[in-house]
Amino acid sequence: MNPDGKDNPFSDIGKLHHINRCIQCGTCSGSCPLSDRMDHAPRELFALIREGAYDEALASNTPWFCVSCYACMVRCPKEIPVTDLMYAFKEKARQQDTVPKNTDMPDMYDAFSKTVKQFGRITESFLMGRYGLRHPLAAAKNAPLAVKMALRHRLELKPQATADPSAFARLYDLTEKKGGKP
Amino acid sequence: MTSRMKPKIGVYVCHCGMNIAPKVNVEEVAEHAKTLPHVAVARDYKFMCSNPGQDMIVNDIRELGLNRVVVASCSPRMHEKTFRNALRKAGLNPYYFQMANVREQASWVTKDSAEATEKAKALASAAVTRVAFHQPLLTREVKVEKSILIVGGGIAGMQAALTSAQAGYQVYLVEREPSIGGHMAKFDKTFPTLDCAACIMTPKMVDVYQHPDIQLFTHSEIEKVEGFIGNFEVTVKMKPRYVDMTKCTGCGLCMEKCPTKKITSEFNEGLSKRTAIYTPFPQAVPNVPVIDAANCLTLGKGKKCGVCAKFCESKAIDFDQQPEFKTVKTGAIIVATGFKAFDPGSIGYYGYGRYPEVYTSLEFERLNNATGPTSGKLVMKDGKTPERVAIVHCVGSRDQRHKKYCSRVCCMYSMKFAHLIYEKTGAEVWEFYIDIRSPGKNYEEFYNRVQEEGVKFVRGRVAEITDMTDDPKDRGRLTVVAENSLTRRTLRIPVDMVILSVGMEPSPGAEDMGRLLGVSRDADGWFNELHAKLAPVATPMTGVFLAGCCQGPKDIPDTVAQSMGAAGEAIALLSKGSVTTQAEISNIDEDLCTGCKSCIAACSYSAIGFDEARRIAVVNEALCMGCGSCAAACPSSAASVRHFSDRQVMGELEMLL
Amino acid sequence: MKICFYPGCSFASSAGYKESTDAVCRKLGIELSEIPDWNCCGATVSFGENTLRALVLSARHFVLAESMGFGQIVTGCNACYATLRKTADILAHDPDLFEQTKHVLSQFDLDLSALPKIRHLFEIISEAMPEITGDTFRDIPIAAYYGCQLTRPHQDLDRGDHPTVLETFLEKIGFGVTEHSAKTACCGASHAVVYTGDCRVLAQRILREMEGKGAKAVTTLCPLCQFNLDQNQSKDAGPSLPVTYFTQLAGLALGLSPKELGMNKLLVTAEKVLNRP
Repeated sequence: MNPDGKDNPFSDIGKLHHINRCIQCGTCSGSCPLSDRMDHAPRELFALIREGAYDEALASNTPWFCVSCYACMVRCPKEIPVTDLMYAFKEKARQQDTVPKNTDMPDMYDAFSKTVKQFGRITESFLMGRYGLRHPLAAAKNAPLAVKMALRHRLELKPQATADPSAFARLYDLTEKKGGKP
Repeated sequence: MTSRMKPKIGVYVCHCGMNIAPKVNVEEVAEHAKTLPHVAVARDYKFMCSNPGQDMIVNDIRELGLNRVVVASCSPRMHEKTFRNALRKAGLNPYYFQMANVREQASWVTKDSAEATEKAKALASAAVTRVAFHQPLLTREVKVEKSILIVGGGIAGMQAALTSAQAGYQVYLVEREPSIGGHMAKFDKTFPTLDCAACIMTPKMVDVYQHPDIQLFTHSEIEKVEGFIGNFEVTVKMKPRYVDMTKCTGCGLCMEKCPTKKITSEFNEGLSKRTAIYTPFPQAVPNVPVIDAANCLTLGKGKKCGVCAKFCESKAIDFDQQPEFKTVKTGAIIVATGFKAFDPGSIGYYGYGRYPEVYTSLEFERLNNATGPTSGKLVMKDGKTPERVAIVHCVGSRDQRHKKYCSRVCCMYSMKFAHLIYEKTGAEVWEFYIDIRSPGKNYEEFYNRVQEEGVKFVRGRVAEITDMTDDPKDRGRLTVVAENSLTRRTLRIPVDMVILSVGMEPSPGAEDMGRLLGVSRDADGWFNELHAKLAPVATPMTGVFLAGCCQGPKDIPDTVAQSMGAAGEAIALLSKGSVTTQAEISNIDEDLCTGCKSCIAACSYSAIGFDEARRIAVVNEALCMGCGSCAAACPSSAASVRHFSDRQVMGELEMLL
Repeated sequence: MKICFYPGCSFASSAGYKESTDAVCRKLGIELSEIPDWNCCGATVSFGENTLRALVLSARHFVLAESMGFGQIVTGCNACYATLRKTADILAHDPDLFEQTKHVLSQFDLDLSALPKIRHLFEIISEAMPEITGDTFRDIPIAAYYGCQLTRPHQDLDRGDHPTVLETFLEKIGFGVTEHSAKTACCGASHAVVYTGDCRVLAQRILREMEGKGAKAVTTLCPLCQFNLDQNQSKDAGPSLPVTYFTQLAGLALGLSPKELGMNKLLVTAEKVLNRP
């Protein structure tokens, strides 16, 4: 049925069937603030999956550039839930271990997620710090901003946390294998 | 042959080539039929509908004295007529026939052969039982009016009128606007020939006006429709113009002198103003103005103006004019109510109504037209000539949030615009499309021509029209944001003018017209044709036909062809001077009827009248469609449908269960 | 009036959003019952990682709100608003995911049953604000910035492209309004840290549009929107517009001082524009 002869790893995504309606009009990419950065336009990603080129689709950095502005989704003439699919594709890439290396966004998301796991809440400065461990240059670039924020009494040095942050570590473990239908 | 003779039934089971025989054991069905009461002969044969097959029936009737026939084969929609004719040929009343559908209802839908055969046997048995109760029925000839009424005076209606009049029919053409011409009167040039729309249409308009057999009702609407095929009675409401058409010379002085000059011109799509007394456009037919009562100082504002009357040398102004009603008899009705352009105001990201230089295609037609708001000069609202124009395809079309369908003409008219803009101004034209649809004769060639003229085609549906700019030099211009899907780049093109190629939707009032005429509409509001492929101009309401865009979006060549077709169908219907009514209609037993009128209330076709003298309901046999609502409603079993008596239907059911 | 409030992670550290919200609510008699021990809703990250986990992170608050006796949760952050709503929608329509979420929450002694209505703080404040008839601020044209996730994907609060409710609010509370075309143009959101350059272009385009149409200040209703527009302005070139929160403008209209509204926390200061005696 498809060139690689493989099973469709995206098939458990509940909303996937909507991509069959895509007529490649380009409204999604035209509306997207960061589409010029993506390996593939969202519509191209749909075309790859429909063709059966699953490996290329999984490895694409496209969903990682989605900023959740939903402009594509409210304008798509075929009412394809583009943004929701981008979320599902990110989850799928993690499940399949095909997170692309040509973008730093996965690391940012990781830093965010680990911070939630550790504290139950996000503290911006702490998140920056954590991301900066992997990406010191980016952290350095943001240093002037950090100073400005400090001068305005907006730089939190102590990370905010819930009463029992360990519950979130538990939550992460509990849901690690399960995932749930995207 | 009276119905009191004992039934002598012939049963014929058809192989239908490979369609019935492999699945259903036809010999077994025939053998089974032989065991049923009153069956004199049962045969199976390869193709019952063929000449030998029909001859077999005719011969058996003549030689064996059969007085009933059952054929177990395909759907009655295919061959009921064929076999009834065979009975007729043999001298038997054609209603002594019953068909059992063992193809669509057994062979084609049952997986297991044994099951299919059992089902076929049941269907055949049901038909045999039923046919024993059949009565001989007669159809009637009803005389028809040799006239055709057409609703809508655009190119579709006008063409239908001319063709009908040419055939010698009296034509009534009813148009609700003050002038005929429809949307085509607004166009500048037409694709692919680039004919001037007015130049090719005004001769037709004049022909319609001058034709002795065409009675033109403009500024008029259909008020009521009664009657039935061949004998419709249509009441036309002639709305007051407040100008006496017999006196007006069309000099135009009243329009010059009218003090109310600031009314938005509908004909110019809101781009210019008109006076309260006006003709919609210079070539209007009839060339008689009409007063917009709501905006007229005298008629609508309670002021004593009357300037037009003062200056009219023919004394044609008549402020006291009342609506007039005229009822005409007509044999057939052709609906040609056209379309309405989609309003892109509901698509916020295209900026229509927000940014002044975003136009719809119809607005642009007026801009480009020599009789339009700028006398055909392609200028923006500030008077400057645009240097770059964007044309946006598929606005509101192919879009599940608006109109799902493709309106068929927009790609072609968009390319027409591109060509005209380039020719007139030398401006750079960018066309943003999803697909280029150019299916007609010379359409693809037109596309090639426009490509060669240097129009920049971008395959990408426009994501946004905005006045946000990146370069301060472009302040005041519009930016078109779209992905060029062919180069995989997101473009932000600064332009001076944007044209939104909007699709079509049904004309306002189509819903009411449908109700008046008994014509149904599809989910998008277009009138339903009788059969999408084989009967595109007829409707299920016999005698009512469709022409032009009211049936679905189409271009001018297709509209004209369809109009000629509709006229042809109407003429074919009426040409013999009479029509045959159907035999399976309601019958009300005088003795049983109590005069309760439940049947009259139930009838959707207004086919039952009431005889006040005898206090009973009476069926108008020409109007009755045999739906059976009266039979179901009647509390005293007085009403029944011929050919669907209780005995017939119950007999059939018993054998099926 | 008592409302169930979900602040979200960025609320307290933003440029005066918390201060102004607290001050305005006090003045209007709105009691903000903050959900005790709330956690991060996951924002635009969690659903891209693990759907079930994402649902649990948000749904925990549904249980907490119900136990507080509330049928709706109010939040002042667009991302939290969108995420909580998305969670409520998914749980309402997918019985399987509802059961899975319920099961995980039960491991924390939380019993998920009712799904609350999710509302934005703007809805509550704009309903409660009285009409201000004075002219103190009427000559200051403000550009309203809605951000992305308030009117998209759910367009029930207002239309997704050119909404008007915030302008209507500004007029009601006595400020001037600049009509402009960047109301829902994306600023680049959470990608601004990693892709600073690209997002700067987006933010600058928005600010240039607002300034070009005559705005003297901006007002927002989301911490990240305010932050991105605030920090993407350079003193030397480009637009210079103070980026406020709608609650700060409401507070000014109600006669509160800029200090108590936390306006000293804005990176681009608002004194010159908004200081009125």
